[in-house]
Amino acid sequence: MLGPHKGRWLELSGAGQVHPQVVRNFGLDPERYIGFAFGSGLERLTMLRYGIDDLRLFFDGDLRFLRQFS
Amino acid sequence: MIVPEYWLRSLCNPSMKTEKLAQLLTMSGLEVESCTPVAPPFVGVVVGEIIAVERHPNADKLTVCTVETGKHKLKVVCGAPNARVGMKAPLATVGTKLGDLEIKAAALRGVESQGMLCSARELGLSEDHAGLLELPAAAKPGQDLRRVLELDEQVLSFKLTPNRADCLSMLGIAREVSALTGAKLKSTKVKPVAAQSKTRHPFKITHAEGCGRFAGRVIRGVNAAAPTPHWMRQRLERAGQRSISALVDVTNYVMLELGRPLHVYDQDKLKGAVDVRWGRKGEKVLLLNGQEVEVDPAVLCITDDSGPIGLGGIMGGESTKAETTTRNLFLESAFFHPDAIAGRARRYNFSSDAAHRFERGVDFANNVQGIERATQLILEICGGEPGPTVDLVARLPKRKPVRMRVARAQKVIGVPVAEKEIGSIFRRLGLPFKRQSGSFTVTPPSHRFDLAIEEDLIEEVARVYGFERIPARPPRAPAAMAATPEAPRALHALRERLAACDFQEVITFSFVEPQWEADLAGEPNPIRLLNPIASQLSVMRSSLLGGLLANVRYNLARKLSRIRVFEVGRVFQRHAGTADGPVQVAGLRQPMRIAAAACGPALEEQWGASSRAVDLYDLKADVDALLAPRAARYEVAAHPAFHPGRSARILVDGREAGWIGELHPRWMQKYELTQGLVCFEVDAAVVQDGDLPQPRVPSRFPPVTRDIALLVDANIGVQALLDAIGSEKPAIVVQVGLFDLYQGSSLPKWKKSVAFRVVMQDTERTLTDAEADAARDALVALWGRRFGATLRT
Repeated sequence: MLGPHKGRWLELSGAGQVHPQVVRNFGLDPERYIGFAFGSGLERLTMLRYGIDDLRLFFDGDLRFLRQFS
Repeated sequence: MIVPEYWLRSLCNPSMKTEKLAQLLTMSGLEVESCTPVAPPFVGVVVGEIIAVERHPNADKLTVCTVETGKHKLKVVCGAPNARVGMKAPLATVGTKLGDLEIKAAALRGVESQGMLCSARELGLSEDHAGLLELPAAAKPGQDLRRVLELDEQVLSFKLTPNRADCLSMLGIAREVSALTGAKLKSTKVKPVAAQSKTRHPFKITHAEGCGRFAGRVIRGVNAAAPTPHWMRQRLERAGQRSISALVDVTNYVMLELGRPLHVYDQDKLKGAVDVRWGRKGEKVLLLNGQEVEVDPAVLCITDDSGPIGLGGIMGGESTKAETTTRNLFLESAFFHPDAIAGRARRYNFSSDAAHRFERGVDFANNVQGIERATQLILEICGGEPGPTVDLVARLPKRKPVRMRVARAQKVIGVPVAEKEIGSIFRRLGLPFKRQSGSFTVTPPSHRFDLAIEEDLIEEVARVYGFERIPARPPRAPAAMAATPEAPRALHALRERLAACDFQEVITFSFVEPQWEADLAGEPNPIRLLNPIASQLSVMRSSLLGGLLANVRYNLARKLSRIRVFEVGRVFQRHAGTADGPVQVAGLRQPMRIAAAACGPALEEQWGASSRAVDLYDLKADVDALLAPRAARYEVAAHPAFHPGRSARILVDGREAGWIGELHPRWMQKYELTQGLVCFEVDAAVVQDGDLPQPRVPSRFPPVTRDIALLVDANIGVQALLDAIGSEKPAIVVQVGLFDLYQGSSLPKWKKSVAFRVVMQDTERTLTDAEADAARDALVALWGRRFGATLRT
């Protein structure tokens, strides 16, 4: 990773086994079906790619920031 | 959770470098966010004892100290107000580098200084620069400061998940370290401190569903003003806890060491028996943080005869707090049920270390151990005569045995972890189990609140076994090429079109201010959030205009003059026609919209064209570019967001596509815009739609053009004139375009002049002038008949 957090961990996405109760709520038998879920925000990858450490910059809509990606 | 390394290693000391240990902990699910040294890497700072202090001959604010370093007596010029004979302070000797500063023997106002006496800030240890850093009296002159203050220590900062409340202490982390490395966990058992008196303070638990256990002890005749010993202060400070007074420090220390929150009362201030019960309407309590809160039957209170004296498991009260003048104290070591504490502190807008732990789950078996440990420390520091420990158990959480099948664990993890290894993992984690053939039955210990189902145990096995040891086996599946539909245009292609029109894409929040909805979408009843994070984000947007307006304001405030932004995003509306479905909810719909806003000059300032403000027609051209090759119709109509005379409904192939307009002057004033803002908002689905082009072969014969200038009533729209041609259009007319529009003093009042250029062409032959004239006359006659238009001569 670039930028001020070089060498440190960054949470990119959550992943894990779906709770068996959730599988049951879908009308499936958790003994037969094991769910795994993965979810990642594109912002995180973008942060990583450009070495940006503040997520809010993407949503502030400051044109001086956004125009650099035109 | 901040963990000073040496404190941790005093409980479990694996022969492993700190960085490696941090990595191992992170990989097992206890994320170490940072691992930072407590001090910058200086060398050459030693303990100096000030043996004489003289006034500096040439400066009022400086003194000349004689400093004993064991080997030498050095003259050091010093400006600190607290320098005094007998004090021990850090001395940076000649040659030491503190950051960019190198200490040299140099004359200061005519007196040579052979080193520098330092404050904590000068050493980079803290922000304290009030005076010299005072070292413990036991420090010996000449000793390396790094040894005396254990400055080679690192501090680990953990970002714990809420299910691992058992790790909110040194013991908790040490337990994990022991499980992961196999290093021995040192016992934290304390020898009970024998009672030296029979003094008790009466207490009871009225509501056991709130407070499950209460252990108490009186200690009489303490010296609460005794200073906290240096070792304890240092550990607390490195764990992020400010030292306050000996009694408070001891309770914090035991909380950080064992994860056992305690509270200490001044026994002389207690009025009658202590009781734990739900609050009553109208009762109030002034808390230790200075906040007076009103309680009710959802809030657990510690009470005495005077009423509530604290919030159970959250924070003590001002009226009974222990102070440095306290002589007799009452120690509380209780267990509060997580459900009785959760969310209560937040309700009053604060948080506390105790609440943070109790709402997640505190070990309900170490109440007495905590009280004994605190007693031991209080007696060491403040003296006193302890009474007996009284332990009242009312209702404790039940720990149900959880069964884990070995085959199931192996299947979920995807690795055949051996039964023997599973047993060893549970043993190292301190989880008592029974082993049957093919399964383990674990009874979770009192400090674990997160082990309820089989998967919880599988997780324990997987994380201690090591996620990194699970091999990656990518699934294989036959893949079929899917056809990409040709006609509908992808949203991304539309984004590129707008970007090509010099708009910048922005993303704004779907949660918006209710006011925007009322003003800009004419929606007085937007979809409200049940639990908004802020009042200005309390409803779902039914239009993108509010977010764009806010964006324009944001950028105008930053002195940008030319702003062109667009957004592609969903809006959220009530819609009676929507039924429940796999991806929709009855009564609601969330169509995709494309909206843009522009303000400021139409073009960046330049030499080739004079500057003018962007207007409705500029933006109309952008809409046309977005829709091309399809053409939109614009019908004058009123919209709540827009200027009544300068807004239009956009129609594409007879379907309503959206709106274009200039912001209503009323909103310009309300939202403090000093220049006009033009916007459009269209339904993405309509814009995306479209058939394949059906091209016609261009004629090989030359076109003929005729210009027609008409005089019509000023209230007749050009669109109406064009629409009227409709079915009566002469076959050879291929294009009719407006090229001039005039209204002014040379014309009669209420009349305007419109000029069309008519292009005519035939695919079979060259047109004659007579045919062209006839077609022109037919058009003029049609307009004359329908609108009373006359040729302008």
